[in-house]
Amino acid sequence: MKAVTNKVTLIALFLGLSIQPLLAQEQIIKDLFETGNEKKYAFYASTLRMVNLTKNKEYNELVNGIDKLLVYSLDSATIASKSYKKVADAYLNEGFEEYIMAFGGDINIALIGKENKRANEFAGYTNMDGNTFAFYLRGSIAWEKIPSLLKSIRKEEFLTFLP
Amino acid sequence: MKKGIIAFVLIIGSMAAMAQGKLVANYFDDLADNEAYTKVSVSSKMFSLFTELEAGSEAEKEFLKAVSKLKGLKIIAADSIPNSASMYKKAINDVNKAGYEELMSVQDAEENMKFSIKEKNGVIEELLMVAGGKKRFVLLSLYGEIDLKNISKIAQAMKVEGLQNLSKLDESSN
Repeated sequence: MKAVTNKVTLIALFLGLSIQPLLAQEQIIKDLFETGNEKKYAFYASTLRMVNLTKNKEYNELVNGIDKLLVYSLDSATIASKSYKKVADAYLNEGFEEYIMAFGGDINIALIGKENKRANEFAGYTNMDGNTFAFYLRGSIAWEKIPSLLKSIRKEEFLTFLP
Repeated sequence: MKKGIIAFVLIIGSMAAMAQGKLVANYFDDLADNEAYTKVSVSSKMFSLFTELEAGSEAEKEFLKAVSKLKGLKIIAADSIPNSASMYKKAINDVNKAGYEELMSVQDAEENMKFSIKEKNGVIEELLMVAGGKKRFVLLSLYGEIDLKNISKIAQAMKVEGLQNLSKLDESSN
């Protein structure tokens, strides 16, 4: 009985140690934006599939590997102070690499990422229609499905569900 | 000795890679806080994602292969600046000083545009575009391994205004 307990403890410890660095990365965006005034959305593969009302196959394949997507709709004070830009610096300090950065004028986009064996992680911010969002994504994205997804959107097979 | 040669080659290689896009990077630094200019930077990590895309036709395969060899793209653009003419002049001057070779220039009543390249051993390592209009200014650097045959297709896909002029290179080569 004691041996079994030891084994379970070891497995729990191993799992805890494996997940802990990922949770630490997630905590960075939480620390930056969870001030009480933001709107936070948490999506998982299941919820991301749920919003696909037209059951678009490519979309489902694209999101199937996503463990978690956190989206923060930022408040006006954060947008005015441009403090959302800290998310890029914070993750770059953690070894994330730059994918796309666009800034100046009306554009503010950053996509940075880190690929590793356990899980890929992406973070950044973007502004759309006067709103600014910061995000953190953990999991794998089936990038190869993007062209066929775009074709579906062009053919209007896939209805937009975002506001 | 062998290790020393490898280290030397690696240092020279990394220095060459860092030099690519350096001219535009300097403008990035200078104009970082100037909201009149939009700055866009796409890294090799982003281009490497293209290797994962599913290509339908042979032409798409060739296109994705060309894109995957790119190491970066930097754009500085402004649509409404009073000093666009002087910015254009300064950029052209800097490009000439930095030893780029002129590839093509387009001039009309609205805008001047100049394409320049940096070539090494028959491979184009960087393509620069400088455009200046009445109030418009664009400085673009595309670097990596650039295949001129596919560059107009890349230009079309990127939808960067002015870059479509590169299709004229295809027409002139036919």
